[in-house]
Amino acid sequence: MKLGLGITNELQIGYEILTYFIEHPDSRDTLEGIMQWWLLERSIKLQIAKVKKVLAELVARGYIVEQKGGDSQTHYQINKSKYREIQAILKKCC
Amino acid sequence: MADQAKIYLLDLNPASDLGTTLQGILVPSLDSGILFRHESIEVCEPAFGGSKLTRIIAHFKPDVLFLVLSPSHLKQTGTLFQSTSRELSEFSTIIVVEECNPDEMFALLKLGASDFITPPLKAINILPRLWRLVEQTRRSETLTRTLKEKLGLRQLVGESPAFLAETKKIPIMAKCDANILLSGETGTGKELCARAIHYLSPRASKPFLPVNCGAIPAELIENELFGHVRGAFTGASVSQTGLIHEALGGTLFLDEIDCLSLSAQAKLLRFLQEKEYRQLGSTKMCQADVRVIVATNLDLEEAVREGKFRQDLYYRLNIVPLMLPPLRERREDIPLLAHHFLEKHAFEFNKQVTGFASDAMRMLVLYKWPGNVRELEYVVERAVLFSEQAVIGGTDIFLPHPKATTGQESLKEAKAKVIAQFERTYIQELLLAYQGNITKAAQAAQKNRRAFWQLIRKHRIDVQSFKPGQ
Repeated sequence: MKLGLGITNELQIGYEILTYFIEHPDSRDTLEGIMQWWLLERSIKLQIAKVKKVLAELVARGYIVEQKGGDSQTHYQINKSKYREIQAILKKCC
Repeated sequence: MADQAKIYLLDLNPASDLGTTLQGILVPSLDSGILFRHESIEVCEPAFGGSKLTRIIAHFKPDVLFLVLSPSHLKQTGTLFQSTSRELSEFSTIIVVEECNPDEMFALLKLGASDFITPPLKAINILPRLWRLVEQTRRSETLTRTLKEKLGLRQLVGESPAFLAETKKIPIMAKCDANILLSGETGTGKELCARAIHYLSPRASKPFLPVNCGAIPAELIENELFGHVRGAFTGASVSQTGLIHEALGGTLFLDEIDCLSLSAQAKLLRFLQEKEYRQLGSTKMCQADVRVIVATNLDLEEAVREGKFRQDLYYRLNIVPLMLPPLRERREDIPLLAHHFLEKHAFEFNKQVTGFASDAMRMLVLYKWPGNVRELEYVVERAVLFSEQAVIGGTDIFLPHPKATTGQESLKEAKAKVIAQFERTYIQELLLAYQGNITKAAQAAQKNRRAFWQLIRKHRIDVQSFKPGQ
């Protein structure tokens, strides 16, 4: 069975289950629930944290700019002055 | 001050004593970290409150709003909710009303209400809900919650209108704290839905306790649910808390609820109404904040007519019903489900199986599936396991061929026969695959060992004959 968004390594599964228990000490469920929901929640949180980190890095490098919206959310957009530089980087990646 | 939780009680039905009773429950329990406001307004037209509500939201910015209404307000409240839906999404609204018509309440939940409460108003029923909603609003993990709902619900595979009409109710059911009755034939995914409701609800961080009432002997079920004190009966040398206590704060999922004895039904009803129960042999009343979701594969209305199920309990449970259609009534979902299970089991068995040949898919689509999605999964799992090609062909699909009916059987009898035959073959195949190891076979079936053993006994299967060397 594919576990939530790619948590497949046994050590990582163990780590994520224990982290879930620490975050929700009163939780309890069977194998099905752990596979369907706990690991899903953990992988969503991991993914959000990873994306946040990458966005911060891209902002720090000046490739994208962040702006607080009226709805108090942060909005990201490309730094147009770096358009060519970004294109060059993407070409290199391919 | 910004960290204070804010609760607003807007009583639009001061003629009733609901607002006063609610205030009497809320005020003594509020600590210094809570800001509480109470306002009563006599209104005839609940077009009333659009502007009032907008003002409250703009000035007080509550985390939770208790809206006390009279039953006659409910229809117009829908209009109010529609006009203020953007503002309402910023906090949780609990509707408090003397009596509720399930359809109207469900419509309000759809429009944005978080929950509803009807009398008797009791602290044990109100305060835990309030704190959960305050916590949920303030935790503001909106993105995690949104993604969890979106990805979590993808586990309920199906696109047919009959299936979607029911599963779309799940996020709404998850928001409120009402008891839920899930009905549907065996293998339609009732437990999957119950779990989705729990994990999308404010109770998600608390236990989810699934219990198959049919797998527990009738004489033991009350003991299992409510527990006992030491000396309650011969052999009760130590106290046992019971499943309700173990599910504290969370959700108790009672599958095959129709298997409860009438005496256990009476106790469960009392618990659902009062949130109170007594351990066997005890005189002390215990309180527990537990949401109960029940499931059955029978027609409970018929069971009520036959006197096998209490009518009052049925009404108490049937506030928000969800009825899962059998697979034969959503055949268009079969290819989608078959591919889903193929992918799952190919990954599990590390096999390079990528699809179905057209003859195989035709067999799957045409079969009647008395065991529903569970049976389909088993058939696909077996096909993946035994297939030697990348594409599963018709010869890899093993479907049971139930004997033709005698023509004198009722639908119920004929169906029961087919299901029994499926169960028997299914268990035998598993015992064969795991060489008579019941624990492993039960794990593969995703049943607990006890429930699996009950099935073996029911079908009088000789486990020894599956063991190596027999």
